[in-house]
Amino acid sequence: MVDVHIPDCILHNILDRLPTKDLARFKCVSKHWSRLIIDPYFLKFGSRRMILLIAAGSPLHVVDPDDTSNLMFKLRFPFGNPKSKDVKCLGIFNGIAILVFKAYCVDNKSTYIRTILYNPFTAAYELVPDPHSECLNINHIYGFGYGATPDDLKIIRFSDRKPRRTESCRTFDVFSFKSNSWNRSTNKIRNVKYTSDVGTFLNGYLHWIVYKRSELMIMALNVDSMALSDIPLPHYNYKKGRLGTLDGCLCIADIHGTQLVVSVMKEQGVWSNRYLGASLFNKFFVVSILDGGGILMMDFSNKFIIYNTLESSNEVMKKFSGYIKCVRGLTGVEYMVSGASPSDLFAL
Amino acid sequence: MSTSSSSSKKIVLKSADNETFEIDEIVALESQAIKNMIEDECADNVIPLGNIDSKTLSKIIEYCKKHAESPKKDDNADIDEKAVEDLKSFDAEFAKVDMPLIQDILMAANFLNIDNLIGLMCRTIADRIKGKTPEEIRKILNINKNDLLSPEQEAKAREENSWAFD
Repeated sequence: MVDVHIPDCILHNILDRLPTKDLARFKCVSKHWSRLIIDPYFLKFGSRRMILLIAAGSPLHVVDPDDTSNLMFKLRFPFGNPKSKDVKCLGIFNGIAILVFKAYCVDNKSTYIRTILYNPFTAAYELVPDPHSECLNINHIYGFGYGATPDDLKIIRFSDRKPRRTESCRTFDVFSFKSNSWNRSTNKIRNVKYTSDVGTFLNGYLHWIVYKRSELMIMALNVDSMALSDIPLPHYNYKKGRLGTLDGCLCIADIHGTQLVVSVMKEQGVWSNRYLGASLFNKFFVVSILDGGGILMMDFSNKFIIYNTLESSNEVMKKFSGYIKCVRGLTGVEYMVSGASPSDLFAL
Repeated sequence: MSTSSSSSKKIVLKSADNETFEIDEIVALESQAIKNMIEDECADNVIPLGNIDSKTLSKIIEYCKKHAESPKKDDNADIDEKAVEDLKSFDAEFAKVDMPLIQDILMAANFLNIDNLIGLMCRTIADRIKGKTPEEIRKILNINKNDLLSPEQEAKAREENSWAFD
C-alpha cells in the first residue's frame, strides 16, 4: 500500500505497546508522531511509571521500572546552566516535577535559587517566580502539597538556619500556584532540627522527621490551616530510615541489621512493623519509598534494587545499576509519565 | 465444533480488483462491520469491499476462518489448552509477512472491525519497531517525507530526549 495514513487510534494502539524510552526517541520520527506521543490522553491511558533519581551535584537520571534493560539514563538538565548544583525535587504532580536548585549566573557573578516545573518526558519547563530576595548562604527546608482540594497546590519554604536563642519559632513562606505568588505565613514553624530538607506529603499534611529536644519524631503541617502537630515514630531502633508514603499510608523504611524494616501508619499514631528479606540487605541503604509500593535501595557500588512490599513474594522487583557521582541527598520519586505542560499547574 | 460448510449460509465478498470470495457466514461474522450489516439486513448477496485488494482479503479470510473454527473463550470456561496454543502458533505464522502487507491487513481489519486481528497486527508492528532509531522507523513504515521535523526541530528534540538515544 502506498503512502497510507495510519489512523490515530491505530497508531496509539501500536505505540501503547512500546517502552517509554522508545516513545521518547520516536518523538523525532515525524511531526504527526511527536504530536501523538505527547498527547496527554494517550499517556494517561497507558499509565506508564518512571522513577526520577535526584542527587546533589549529579545530573538527573530516570529509570523505567518496566523496562528490561535494567539501565538508568541521564537526563539533560532542563535549565541552561550546567553548573547547577544541589537539585532538590519537592514532588511530582501530574508528571511535572517541582525542582529547586542553586545556579550561578555568569553575568552578575552571583548565585541564585531557582524553582522550576519540569516535565521529564516532554523536557518542557517553566520558572516559578522567585521569593523575595534572600541571603543565599541559607539552606532551606521545603514541602509541596495541597490542602482540601488538589487544585490548590502550594510550596512551603523556610530557613534551615537555627534562629537566635530568643526566638522559638521560624517564619515560613508559601507559594500558591493559584495566585502565582509568594506570601509570608502569619503562622510560625517550630524551631527544631530537621533531618531531611524535603517534606513528605500525604492527605493534606506535610511531614518531616525532626529532633525535638534530642528526641526524634514526625512533625506534621496541615497545608490548609498551616497548623502543626506531632506524630510519634515507631518503636524500634530507628537509625536513618526514610519517610515516604506507601499504599496511601505514612511509611518509614530502614535497614535494621540484615533486614528491611517497613513501618506503616495505618491509623493516626499507630505503626505496624514488617521485617522483610532476611539476610538480603546488609550492604544496602534505603534511598526512598516509591509511591507504587516499592522500596528503592542502593549499595556503595552503585547497585540499585527495588523491593516490592505489596506482594509477599519476598522478591526483588528490579535490579539496575548506574553511576551516580554523589549519593548525598539521593532520592527517587516515582511518577506517572504525562504529556502535561508545566504551566498547567498554575491553572488546575 | 467446526461448522459444516455444505449446509451453512454463504456470503460473497468482492475485492477492489473484482475478485469474489465465497465464505461461510460464520467466518464473515468475525468482522463486526459485516455482522452489523447482516443484522441490519443491508447486506446483499455480494458485499463489495472497494478498498481491500484480493491479496489482503484472502489473508483476512484465512485468519477469520481459523478463528471462527476455534472454540471461543466464552463458549466454554475450560477450553483445552491445545486449542489456545494452536491458535497462538497460527497467529505467529500468520504475522510472518512483509511490512506493506501487515499495514494493508491492519487497515482492512480496522475497516472491517476485526478486533483480534487489529491487536495482532499492532503487536507485530510494535515488535518490529521496538528499539529502532527514528530513521529506521521512517524507512520501515514508509513515513511521509513531508511530515518530518525541520532540521532545527529535530536537533532540539534529539537534545531534549538524548537519554532515549543512549
